Amino acid sequence: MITQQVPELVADALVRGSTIALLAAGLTLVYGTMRFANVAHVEFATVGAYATVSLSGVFIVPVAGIIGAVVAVALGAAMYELLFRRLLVMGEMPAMIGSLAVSVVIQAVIQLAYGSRPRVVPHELEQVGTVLGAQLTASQVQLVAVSASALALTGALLRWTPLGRKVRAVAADAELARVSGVAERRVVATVWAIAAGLAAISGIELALESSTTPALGFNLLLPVFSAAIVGGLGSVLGAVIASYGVALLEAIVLALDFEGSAIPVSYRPAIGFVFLLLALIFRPRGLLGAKVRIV
Amino acid sequence: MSEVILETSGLSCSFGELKAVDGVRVRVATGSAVAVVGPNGSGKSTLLNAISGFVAPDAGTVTVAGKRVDGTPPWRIARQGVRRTFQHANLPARMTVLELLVASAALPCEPREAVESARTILGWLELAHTEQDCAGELSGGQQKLVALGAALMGGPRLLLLDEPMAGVNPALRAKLAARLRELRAGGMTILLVEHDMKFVARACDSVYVLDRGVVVAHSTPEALAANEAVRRAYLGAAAADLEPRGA
Amino acid sequence: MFDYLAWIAILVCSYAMIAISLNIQSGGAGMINLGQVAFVGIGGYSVAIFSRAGLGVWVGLLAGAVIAAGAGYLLGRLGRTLGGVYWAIATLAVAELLRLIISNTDTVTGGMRGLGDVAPLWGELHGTANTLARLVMALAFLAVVVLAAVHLDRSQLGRWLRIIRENEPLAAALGIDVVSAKSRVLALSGAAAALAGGFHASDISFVGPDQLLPFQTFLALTMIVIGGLGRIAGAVVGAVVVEAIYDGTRYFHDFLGLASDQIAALRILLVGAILLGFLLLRPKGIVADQPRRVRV
Repeated sequence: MITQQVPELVADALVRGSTIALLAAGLTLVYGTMRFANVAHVEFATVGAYATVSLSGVFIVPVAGIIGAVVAVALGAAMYELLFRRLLVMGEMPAMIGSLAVSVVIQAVIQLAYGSRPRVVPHELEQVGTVLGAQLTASQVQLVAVSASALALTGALLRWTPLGRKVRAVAADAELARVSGVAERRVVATVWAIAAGLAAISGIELALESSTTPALGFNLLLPVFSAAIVGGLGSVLGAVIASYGVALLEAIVLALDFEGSAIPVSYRPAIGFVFLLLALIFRPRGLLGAKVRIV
Repeated sequence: MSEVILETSGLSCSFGELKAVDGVRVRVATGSAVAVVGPNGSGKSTLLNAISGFVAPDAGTVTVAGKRVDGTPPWRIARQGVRRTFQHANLPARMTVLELLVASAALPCEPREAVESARTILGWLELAHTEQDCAGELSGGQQKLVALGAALMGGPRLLLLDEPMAGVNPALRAKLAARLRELRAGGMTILLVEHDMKFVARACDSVYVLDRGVVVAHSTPEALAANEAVRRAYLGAAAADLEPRGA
Repeated sequence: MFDYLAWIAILVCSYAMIAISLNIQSGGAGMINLGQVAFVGIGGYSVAIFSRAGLGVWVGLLAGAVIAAGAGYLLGRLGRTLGGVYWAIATLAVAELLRLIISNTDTVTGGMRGLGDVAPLWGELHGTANTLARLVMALAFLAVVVLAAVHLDRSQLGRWLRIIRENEPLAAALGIDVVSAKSRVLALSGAAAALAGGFHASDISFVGPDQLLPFQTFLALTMIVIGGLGRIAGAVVGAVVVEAIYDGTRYFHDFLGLASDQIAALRILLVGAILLGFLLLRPKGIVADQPRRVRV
């Protein structure tokens, strides 16, 4: 017995899915090209959000958002040069552990600077409108619109520019990535910038739509990884589809009503990773591709 | 004891669009030494991987001593008495040679016996002095010898060697070749993938030539050397090495 | 003074047990388990539930160890199809799933409030005798875990794991059932972590879902990286160092006048920064791994 109408479910899925998709797309690109499972990836969103919160006192919101995104990307570049590049030389696992440490440090720094109460970007009272049968706030519409545009732009870049084609080739072919060692500098820089940028946009839009806490990014970690893995690490399209898919699944499951009792909202993250675990158990081939057995 | 210890039939493996191994049929008689040669990308390594279980074939069968093993995990095939080595040994850097060999002993194993066997094998390989060295820090050639030793600890009846001579300096090559001859004399069956035609000519009873995943020739080294078409097309300059030399 | 030192020592013992349990997987077999805290939680909640149900703390301890061992074994079999990164994320997902379920089930697990009134392991004692008993218990538990780890280290399984951590295909080619070996070490690791969790629950007479946050696994990971992956002594040293940092910074608020919230963040920052420092500058850790001598 589903307690919500289809338009509401779709709307929920679009909003939540957009947030996840922006992050998952970047994560999967980075893993595909650099074999780097960056646990700190979601922190780009948190950094972008907080930068915008701080800047919104000085600049109007759109400008604050853009500068916030730039700050996040710049920080990402610095982190890569100073930390991740060296960790990646040591291997996939040390890099992953290092990224875990970076994630923890970023959250701690933000908590030190901003405290743990939620912060909001001040803007006028939200208008709630009805779009195709679903109730949405102006921020939510903006979130979906901006996200879709960013993803479309990224898709276009990957498909129609020479550099983009090269990125796609390296991201899709794990063997090629392995053989060519760490992909060449330009590919790495491009991928990193795109990933950080998309993540920052995700965080900023989320902060605008609701609020931000130091855990903004971390709360999205598992849904984002779930989507990226289910979609096939290295495939941006796969990650995007899986993101909206997971969001839709969440919306449906949360709307289920079993004769009076429903699944509590706090279980939302669980839905994504039950899905992930089932996918990993029953369809590992789809993710690992070729017939090569591990052992 | 069966005559044919290893047989593949219609073996095919593909990666996406690429068919690395296409309908390959190989038969290895017990106690013989068989080589698989061919240009780069001919599917030699994939064939070895498919036989040893590291790649699951799309089609065809692999039979060891009458028992089908295609689709079986590599460790299980290894326990059937099939031990393989790798082109790049990549031995663990944080284990001593002795420890590695002891770890490679077949089950069930009595530690004292394992140590004795390991020392015997190391002595035979002329590597007794490396016993306490870290395996991964030995030279490439020495690692290959140690890897061979580890494979032998399991008391195999079939050895699969992936380019045993690659990356080994000439002095060690001679030693490795001598050890392999001694193994053969002792009744071991060997299937190897190689580029070193000199070695193949001296050591092997028969040779399969692979090109683009297909067996294009199968005969003795001498006969292959005489086959102009094969020499020119697939082996290039290396074919000259197939000429039988004086003993 | 004695009470305070004993309390620190007991905490170090608890952490050392968890660090060792993680080390036999990561340092011993090269597996990165981001959900280790789930095993600790299974141990803690088993003890709490059994104790409150009147079935006895020790029975709860045993039950916890068995359940955790079983869960560990299953997690290991999951590795049949999952490698490295995938498996690490899957373990994190499993641990988070467990934490969510525990947090939302008020009846059995006390939900967010946790479970209190957990009986001690040694019966009713007071004052210094109690503290002494707790200390002796902690050391005894630690000794058991250390002995198990040492036994594993010197066994043939331990040797197989050391091959597996550096070259899995080689292990398979030598006839080693890699998935089975990993499952076995995970079962042992789970049991050890459950013992630590059970002991801790009984010691502080409380267990709650906050003890299952991913940060706790991160802390354990930091201990073994700082201490030195692979060596049992390394895990213990790491536990001491991280505990020292954690407790040393407890008094920062006296000097810096920060709110307790901020102090917590500062301690976390310090731990994370030090882990990064070690990864970049001394990845081998304080007690670097050595090749083992073959003992017969």
